[in-house]
Amino acid sequence: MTLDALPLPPRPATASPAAPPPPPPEAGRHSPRALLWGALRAQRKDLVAASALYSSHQLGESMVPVLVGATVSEAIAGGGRWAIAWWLSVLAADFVLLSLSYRYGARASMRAKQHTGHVVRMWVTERVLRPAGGIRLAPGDLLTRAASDAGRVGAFAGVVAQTVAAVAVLAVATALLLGFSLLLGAVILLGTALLLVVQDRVARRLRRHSGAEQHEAGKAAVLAEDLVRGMRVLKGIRAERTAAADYRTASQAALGASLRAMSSQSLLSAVGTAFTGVYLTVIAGVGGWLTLSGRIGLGEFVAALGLARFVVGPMQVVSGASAAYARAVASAGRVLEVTGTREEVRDGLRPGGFEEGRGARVEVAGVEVDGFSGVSFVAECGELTGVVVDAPGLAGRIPELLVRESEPAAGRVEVGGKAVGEVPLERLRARVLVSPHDAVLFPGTLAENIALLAPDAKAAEQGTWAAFADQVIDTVPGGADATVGDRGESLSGGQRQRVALARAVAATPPVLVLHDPTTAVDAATEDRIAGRLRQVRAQEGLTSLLVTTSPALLSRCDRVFFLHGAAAYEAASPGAPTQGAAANGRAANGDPVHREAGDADGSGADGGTEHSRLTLLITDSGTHAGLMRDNAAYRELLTR
Amino acid sequence: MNPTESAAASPATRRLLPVADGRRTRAHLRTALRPRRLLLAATTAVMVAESALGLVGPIAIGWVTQAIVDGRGTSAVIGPVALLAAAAVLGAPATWASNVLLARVVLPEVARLREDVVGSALALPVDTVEAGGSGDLVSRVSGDVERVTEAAQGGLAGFVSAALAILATLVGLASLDWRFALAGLLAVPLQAYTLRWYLRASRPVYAAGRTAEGHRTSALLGAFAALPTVRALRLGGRQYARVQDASLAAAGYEFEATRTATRFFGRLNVAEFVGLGAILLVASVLVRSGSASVGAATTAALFFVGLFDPINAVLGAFDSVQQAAAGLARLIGVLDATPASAPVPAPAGSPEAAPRTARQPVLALDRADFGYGDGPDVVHDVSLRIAAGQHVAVVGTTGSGKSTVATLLAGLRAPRRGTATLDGVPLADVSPAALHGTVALVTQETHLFAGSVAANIRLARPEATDAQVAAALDAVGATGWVEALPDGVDTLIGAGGHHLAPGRAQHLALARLFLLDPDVVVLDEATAEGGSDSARLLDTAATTVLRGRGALLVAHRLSQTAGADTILVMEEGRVTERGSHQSLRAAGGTYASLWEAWSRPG
Ligand SMILES: Nc1ncnc2c1ncn2[C@@H]1O[C@H](COP(=O)(O)OP(=O)(O)OP(=O)(O)O)[C@@H](O)[C@H]1O
Ligand SMILES: [Mg+2]
Repeated sequence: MTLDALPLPPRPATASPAAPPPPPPEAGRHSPRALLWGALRAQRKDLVAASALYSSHQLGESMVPVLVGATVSEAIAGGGRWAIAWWLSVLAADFVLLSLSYRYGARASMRAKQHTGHVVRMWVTERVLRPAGGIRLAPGDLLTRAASDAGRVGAFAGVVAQTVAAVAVLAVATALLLGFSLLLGAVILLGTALLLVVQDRVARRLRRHSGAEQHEAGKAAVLAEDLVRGMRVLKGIRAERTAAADYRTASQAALGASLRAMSSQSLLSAVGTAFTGVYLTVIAGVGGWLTLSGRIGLGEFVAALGLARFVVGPMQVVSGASAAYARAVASAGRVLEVTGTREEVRDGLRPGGFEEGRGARVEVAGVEVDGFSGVSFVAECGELTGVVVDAPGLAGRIPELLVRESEPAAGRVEVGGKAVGEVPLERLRARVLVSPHDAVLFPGTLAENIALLAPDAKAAEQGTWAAFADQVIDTVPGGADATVGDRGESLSGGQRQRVALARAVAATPPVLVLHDPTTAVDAATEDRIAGRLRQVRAQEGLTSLLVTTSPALLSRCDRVFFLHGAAAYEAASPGAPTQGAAANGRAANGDPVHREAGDADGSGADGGTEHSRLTLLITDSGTHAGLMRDNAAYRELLTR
Repeated sequence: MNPTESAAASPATRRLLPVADGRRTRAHLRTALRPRRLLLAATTAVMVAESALGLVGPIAIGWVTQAIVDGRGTSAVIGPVALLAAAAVLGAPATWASNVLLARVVLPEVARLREDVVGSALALPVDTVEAGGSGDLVSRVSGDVERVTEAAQGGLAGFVSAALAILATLVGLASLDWRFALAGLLAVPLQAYTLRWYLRASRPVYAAGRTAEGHRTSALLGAFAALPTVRALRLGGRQYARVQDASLAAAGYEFEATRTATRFFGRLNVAEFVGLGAILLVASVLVRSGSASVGAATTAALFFVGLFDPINAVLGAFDSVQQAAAGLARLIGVLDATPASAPVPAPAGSPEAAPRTARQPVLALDRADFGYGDGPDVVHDVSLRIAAGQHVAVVGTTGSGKSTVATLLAGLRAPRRGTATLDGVPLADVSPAALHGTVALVTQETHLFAGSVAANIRLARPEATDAQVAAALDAVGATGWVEALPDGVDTLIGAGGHHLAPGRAQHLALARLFLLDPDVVVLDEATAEGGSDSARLLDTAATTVLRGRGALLVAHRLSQTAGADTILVMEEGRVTERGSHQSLRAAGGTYASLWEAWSRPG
């Protein structure tokens, strides 16, 4: 009965932080119903136990009035001296049966509920975290699905156990009543059938309303999460009241939906009450009449009525099951919207991957993405390569392309001589580390954050030094053991950025891609970081790519690629430029337009983001100093 | 699993938001329910009627039984059947009404509570909320609210049927032979003892369970809200394991609670058997001695069996109350954490849009010291003054305390020593409403709220028209790219929406500021994220926003601050240099070397 005895879902190897979680089983990937039953199937042992035990509990409960009736007629109205003792022990045995059945049944049911919920929660989590990506829902939205909806799917496990038990009780009670009187048994059967039909009609309305209820409640939770995460921004403009009013609106909408769902629910209950009342009346009337006219005995009558009263509960359970099922399916559907999300990229299949070696050459050639074509550059081993992008929104895409967070419409992206699409994602990302521009820290200490991906203590130290994070450790009260808060918010902006950089450098990846890594630090610190970064990375023969416009960083780069707009042209279909491209001849074959520093004169075209309209990028390359000297567009972009 | 063990697994470093104690929770409930007194009374009345109709069953059955024992004719069945039929007919509307009324008492109250909690949390100092992590608060307004709703509905209904069951027991006992009643009463001390034991045993389990669910929410949000970083750094496995641990720990408390509850019901079964057995024994003696009828014995025994459910419902209601109390304490704890000076905001249709005259307030820090939490001071003895339309810049190395000074001046944090004043009045004494539109801070952290571009801008002034929003975008030069978005200003951005580069988020923040039109602006690295995309655009936008206003500028890009009237240089929390760009460069100090590093062509 303890947690340790529970069949846990397979747990990913946590020894390495990089170990990917296991995918969910095939079951339940296709429809909400399949997902629901697939989740329940995993808990079938507990479900069977709970159903059986609940049934025997219910049977035990139903025997109580029968035994009381029997005791009255056999031991009280007549019978021998010891009859009462005998009947009391039978009653005691029944109590032991019903009590223990309930105890272990409820526990098995809770296990089934919690574990089903847990399994579904882990399916959602696994899908969200899966390397192939594709998840676009807001964190708060994902949260409600992984918490409330998973919980509701789990709760249905309890309903299943109860319903199975209720059906068993109904069957036995019907059989018993049939034994007393065919008429009484028939009344139960008919009553149950009618009740089910009528309640199913009413349940339809409830289904609709409870779907809406979950949707609205989810929206309110999403808003709350979003407001709390953006709290600093809100407070800065004193929009707390506006935000609170927004939340109030969402909460009131959720309240309205809940009240509507509750009114359907009430109707359902009222129908149940009416039916069971009528049914009791009929049984009492028919039974009383049968007894009074001498067709059945007193004991039988008492027992029959006791049974009839008793099956009211199971009847309600059975009739309520369809509403519970509807609710669970609605939640399973919301879960499936996450677990069934299409993957952003297909995982590369070719096993093996990369040759050993410290660095890896990166080559991007003629790539088309986001309405730009001709994205081309090369990063060599042991060098720091700078990429300066003068095209709106494109800079953030470049790191993504290298680790296949997104796929280019056309062109070639290679790492270590292999097309990135062919290598399994895990291996690719183990090779190429992108530190996102807005990288967040994790709860824990400074030291833990820096060492998160470091292969050894020396690497952590090197990362700390390169990012000038040693100064952070010296400044912050508590030093390396200071905690950074939930996402790093107890550090200053520049401190946070340096710790994130230290974490990335400490990982010592063969290819490190940094996007604007020093926007929150002052020029003097930036300069120091640039020098140290170069020293650490180049010395080890590793490849480093900096997507940035910082002169301090670019001046330390061995080579700088300047990507800027040349001309917009119409493309018949993505990746197949026509007319305008003719002017740039080679670009039409997807080859890069590549010039050495000296003759550039980019015409800074605006980013036409329409699919059919592409902006052809020109790549100029050289050293920072050379480009500053010879390239007017570059000079203009980087002069402060 | 031992609950205390897994509690130890939770992040020990967290300072979660407070949890109210039982007394506070009850006091709050009393006040909150006062305006709903009438509705509550009506609900209770209907519930009493509903439960009373439920008692008709055993009475009618006893009546039939007696008729049978007395050997009367078949027509004797008519009376009891008519009674049962009447109960059925009346029972349906009673059930409907009691459910609907109950929902109308509980749901709006819980909704109001969660709104108040969010309102209060937003009024709390940022540091307090951040210390607990956003997961703590979010789990309170979602998971706890769900639990409270369920338990309150179940608990209230249970309590009413409880009260009635007790009443019926008394009445029933009186109508019975007193000797049967006495026998049945044997169960009561057992039940009382069991209940007392249970309340003690389950309270800590439920409280810990709620906290564990809060940790689970934090773990889930930690994975989901940091998704880009998690994926980039291949931390999926680690986050998965965290969620798994937290989820199993929360489930552990549910198992623990169920174990306790099933023991509770097991003991109640014993009490039932003792009562029932005693009645039957007494009946056998009395019937034999001829001092009681078989009918009376049957009625007494069935009456007692019929009481099992209501009594269990009564006692089970304590379980619901226990669960609701655990959730409520966490909600009310947030309300209580709100400082008295920051009242829960009223639903503001349109905040006081008093016509603003061209005011030029003076914002000043005087010898201010500040430190976070109970840590050492990180800002020492800082004085500065922003008078009519003046621009003051703060520069310095990273971590020197610039952002902290910015928040002190904007009134978001209060200095430990020294003062922060607006026209001589301490900022702490100025109401939030009065500060709205007077001083505004654009923080170093950017956040786009999930919603349309227009909604993000409108946060500053909810009453702004579409034209005003468009004008703000136009003024800061953002119209071009906003219109190029898939749905223009109606494009959904923020979490789950269209992705915008950080520079664009900053651009929108400036547009928001323009719409807000405050007297004094504090820009903390508000143009730092320009990067490759929009440095120029942001610079122009900032110039527009600053025109004609007092301002405090914090920037590493020194070209942004060179034009300021006064430049302060901060080092390790102190202002070490002060003067104009020219004079500071000439002085050859820290500023001169910073400027040197900045303007070197690379
Ligand atoms: N929320 C917080 N909790 C605890 N300490 C904090 C918090 N915010 C900042 N600090 C600490 O206070 C000091 C000053 O931070 P502040 O953010 O004011 O620096 P800053 O000058 O703005 O730096 P940057 O240029 O990097 O943004 C730093 O040592 C930082 O670690
Ligand atoms: Mg700062």
